[in-house]
Amino acid sequence: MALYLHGYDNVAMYDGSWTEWQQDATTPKDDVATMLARSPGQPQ
Amino acid sequence: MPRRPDRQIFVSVDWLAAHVHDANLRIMDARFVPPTAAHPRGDALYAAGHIPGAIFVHWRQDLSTNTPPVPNRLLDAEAFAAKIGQFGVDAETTVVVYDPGDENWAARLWWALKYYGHDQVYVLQGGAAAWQEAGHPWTTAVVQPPRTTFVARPRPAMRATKAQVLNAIHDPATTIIETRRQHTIVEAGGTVQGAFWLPSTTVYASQGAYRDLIAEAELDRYLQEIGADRAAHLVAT
Repeated sequence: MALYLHGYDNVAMYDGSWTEWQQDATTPKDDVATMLARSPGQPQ
Repeated sequence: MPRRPDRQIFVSVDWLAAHVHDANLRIMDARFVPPTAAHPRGDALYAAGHIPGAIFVHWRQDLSTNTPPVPNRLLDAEAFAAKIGQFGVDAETTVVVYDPGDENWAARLWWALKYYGHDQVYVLQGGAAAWQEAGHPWTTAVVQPPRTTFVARPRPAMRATKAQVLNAIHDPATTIIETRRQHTIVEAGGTVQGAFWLPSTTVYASQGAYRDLIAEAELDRYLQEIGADRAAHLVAT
């Protein structure tokens, strides 16, 4: 949501991510460590 | 990264105080919060006091599906339109949404109304906390807005389906942003493959009793680092 609030226009929200993605064993997932390694330098 | 040059998403508490009695204004109290020992339910907060003229809108009870297998998703167009019409919102209505001041649920209502084609919707900057801090009026009086007709005109580009997210994983023009907190991702068994992390805890800055967005330049720097500034599309989870 913050991306919208910051005024970005090209954002699509996936509002099923909390359950739908999790419940489907076939959806490709990364674990947290992989995600964090990909995401350095976040704003603090 | 395209930003709308004419965007206005927030209104200030002083602006709202000056317009609170406008005939075509609908104020939505979106203080949906999971109750804890320290925090009562949102409807209890509303009953105890709210901005004059505000109606209480409960995200889960009013605007989202509560049926398995995927609860908590936005209502379909027909049901959403019926509910928003009950709230007295039509095409001519300006809507201001507020929450406790963290802007999470107000932003979600903002998104829902925008998604269904309503442009005159704004988030109250600083929410209830900023309103009260400024000493503006507070009331327990409940209003019953006149029912009207809201026509939902979905904007598909603002919402992603599972199929679209699956395609986005392999689309170099799309960057996937994971916004949940770390422990939630762990509990969920992982995130979408290829997603970059941008949790709400890093894009807001505390302003005392409420939160505000971090500086645009700071967010832009991060988005540039992960290449999202070159992405044609972003998908946020």
